[in-house]
Amino acid sequence: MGSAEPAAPDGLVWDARAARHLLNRAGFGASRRRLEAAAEMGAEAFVRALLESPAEDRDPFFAERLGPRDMKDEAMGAGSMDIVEQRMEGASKRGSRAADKDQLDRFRAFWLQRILDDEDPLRERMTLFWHGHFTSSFRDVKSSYEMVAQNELLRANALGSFADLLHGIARDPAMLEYLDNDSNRKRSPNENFARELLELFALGEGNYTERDVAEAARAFTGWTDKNGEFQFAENRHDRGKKTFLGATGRFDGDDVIDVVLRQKTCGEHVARRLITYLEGIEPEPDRAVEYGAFLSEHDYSIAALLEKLFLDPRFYRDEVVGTRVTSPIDYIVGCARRLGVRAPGRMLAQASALAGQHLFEPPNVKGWEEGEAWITTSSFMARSNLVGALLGVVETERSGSSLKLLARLGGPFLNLHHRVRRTGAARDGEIAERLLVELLAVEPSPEALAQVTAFLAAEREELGLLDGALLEGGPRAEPVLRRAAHLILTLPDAHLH
Amino acid sequence: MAMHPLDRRRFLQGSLALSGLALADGALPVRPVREKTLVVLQLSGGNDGLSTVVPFRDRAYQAARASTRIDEDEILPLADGIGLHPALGGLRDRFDEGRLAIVRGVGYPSPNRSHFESLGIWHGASSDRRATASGWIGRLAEVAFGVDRHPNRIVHVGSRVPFSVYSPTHPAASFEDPAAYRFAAADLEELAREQETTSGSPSLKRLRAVFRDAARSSAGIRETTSAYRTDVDYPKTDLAESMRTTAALLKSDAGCRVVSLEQTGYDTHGDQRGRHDRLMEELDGALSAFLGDLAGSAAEETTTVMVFSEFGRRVAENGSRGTDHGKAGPMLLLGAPVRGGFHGDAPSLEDLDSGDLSFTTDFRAVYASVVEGVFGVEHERVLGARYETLPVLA
Repeated sequence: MGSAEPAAPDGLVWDARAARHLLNRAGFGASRRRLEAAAEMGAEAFVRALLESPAEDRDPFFAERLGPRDMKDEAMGAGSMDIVEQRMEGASKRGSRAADKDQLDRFRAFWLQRILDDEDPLRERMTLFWHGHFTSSFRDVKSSYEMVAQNELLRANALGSFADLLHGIARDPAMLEYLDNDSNRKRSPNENFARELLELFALGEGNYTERDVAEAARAFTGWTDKNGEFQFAENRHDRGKKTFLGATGRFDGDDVIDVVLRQKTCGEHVARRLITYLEGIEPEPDRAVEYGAFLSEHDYSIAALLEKLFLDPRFYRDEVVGTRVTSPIDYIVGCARRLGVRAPGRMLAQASALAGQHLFEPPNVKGWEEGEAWITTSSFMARSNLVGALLGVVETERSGSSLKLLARLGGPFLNLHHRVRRTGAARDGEIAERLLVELLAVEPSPEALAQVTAFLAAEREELGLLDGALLEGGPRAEPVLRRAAHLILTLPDAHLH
Repeated sequence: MAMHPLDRRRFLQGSLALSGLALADGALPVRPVREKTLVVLQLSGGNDGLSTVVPFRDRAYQAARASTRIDEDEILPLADGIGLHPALGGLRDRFDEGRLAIVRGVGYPSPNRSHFESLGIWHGASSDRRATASGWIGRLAEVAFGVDRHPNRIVHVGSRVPFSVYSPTHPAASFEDPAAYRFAAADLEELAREQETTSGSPSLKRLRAVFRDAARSSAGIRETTSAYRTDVDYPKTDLAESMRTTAALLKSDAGCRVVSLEQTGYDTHGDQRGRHDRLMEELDGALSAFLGDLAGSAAEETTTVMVFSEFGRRVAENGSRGTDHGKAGPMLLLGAPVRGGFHGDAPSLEDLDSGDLSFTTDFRAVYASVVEGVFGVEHERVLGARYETLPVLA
């Protein structure tokens, strides 16, 4: 027998800890069983498998153009203002708005379901990343059709080339609307899109001048959308010479993006954003430069960069593992997955929104501020209350009627006492440890173990049982274990991954 | 019947404990002298200062603003050629009473037109623009209160907590809806109250401190706001609702010294006039109701409201009947402690900095005035440098 150790790059210790970390960050957490399989597979094979998507999209979402803006476009296309007036009248306008909102809610549910199904976790993780990076908000775009189309663009290219993504987003109707490029005209340029292209999307603050913003805005004049599609309005386009980041020519938007992609700072900016998101800590300048150069050399391939990162021992250093604060989606999906609750996407989407992450409605053009920004006194309560409702252990009147839907999930799907008993755990400390390992995304802290053990001991004594006999209580033990699970998922440890 | 101070303290603590209002850290609930408080309102997105405090007779203004111009017949005049947006009637009354200070041309050197960079500069307020560990209000709390922690001292009412109130040692309490500001499981709230915060990894330690503060601030905030009744009719807007909560906190003994609030929607790149009009109306309605609500209470004499935005907007309009990101803009201070009138010099509309107004007053000088006037703290200890304070507070 040769070495049984699966292949791993030098310096990388591939074990259950590393596999859990990778699945926390590259996916949305994993059950214990999945982790054991991943650890056995070996680092390189597992990372390759993560990067390969299933060949076919088994279940596409077909969006329709339903919103007031869509109707208006449509009618405009027909060339009749009467139709516009008629169709936009009172009830039909309100109906259209409601239908549009409903379609987006269905898409949110669809996306959350995909995330929970876990068939292509890395693609979903990266789609979520790009939704924060190239963000647009339904509040401004006002067309669910366009929001869905943008999401499809991001999903299709999530692991592809950043160059394609950048060219694609510049023609994306939702983005053109969101950043006002639909009204960027030669006679009076609107520089909103051009500025965010340079500042947030591609280069980062400090790597361009105000003049570059103005010149880029000129190049994007006339890039607009009509009937939910990109349109180049030639009569609004400024065909004059522009000088942008040291290059001069009669640039249009694509030319400007090509100049941007030639900047050394572009690869570095994208690499820095990606590493910061996935590691939870901004990389040292040297490392951003190293990864930026790698990205440029590999035609901006996101997959190549991710493969390098996931096999980089620095990705698994102590400073990184288990220290990132979960986003609401990470937290909710992680809780549902580890509890083994098969929550419908609609409820997960609603829960994430209640905890502060409402998909397609980011707080601003910078997307969501990740990490510790998620944690406030009220988000602690909101998360605890959501999970309490999911576990069916809190009265929903006490936590708002919006939780009632979640609460319906509780009871029938969970059998925690059986699950713990099967592992042979019996004494308070053993049960506490088993529950912590099953329910947390990180190694439990000694303080958490002590708190949960003390909680179980007090509850058991109340039932008049001796230490070791709690699970013998059968169904009587279930409420105790659920409340222990509620405690665990409320503790500070539960908000890290 | 005279009561010995210590007995009184015990008595109060006992009765508070019975009513579920026991205070954290054994802090004294008795506050014989009402302390001064600061309400900070952020107008997010970059408020168009020229449409707020309007130089309506300035020809350069009239020429630059075709679709967003506010004409003389609509304006609420304050002084020669300067007036308030027509929707700011309540603010005009405050101005006439000498309780509205308008600081003109506020900004900072080497302005940044990015929302995030500029907000970062306003929130951090470091003297050299290098990143700071805490926001400026966080540092103020660290200097003014030291190791004396109180979970409700710094409160943000709203969904997004700004960096300005961030401090690892004085984390802000934050909530959008005070009625839902609770742990639904009462035993978990009890447990969180006693959460140990001194062990664990750095991230775990910070989370534990917030966890404990959540439990310790929840009951007081909830009860203060749910029991609150007022005769003042607040408009039905998000901002007015938040200001009502603020009034409830400041008129109670919840222990708040700084309340932070936000009004969003000021990034008016397109069709600005109607949008901005509605924002001004919402702003005036909320502030007027709030100040009316404080009137006659002890909090009236101690509360200062400060209003800012991350930048003003470009003098010239863009092609979408809107304006792009600009530089300097006005700051407003309101309340009984305020010395009303104009402060700082009005920026010129002719001598522009690449199309924008140049700043004439550093925003940190306004902060410095508030740090000293409201909190009695030497501003250099908070802001890291000396600024020339303005006589905005009496």
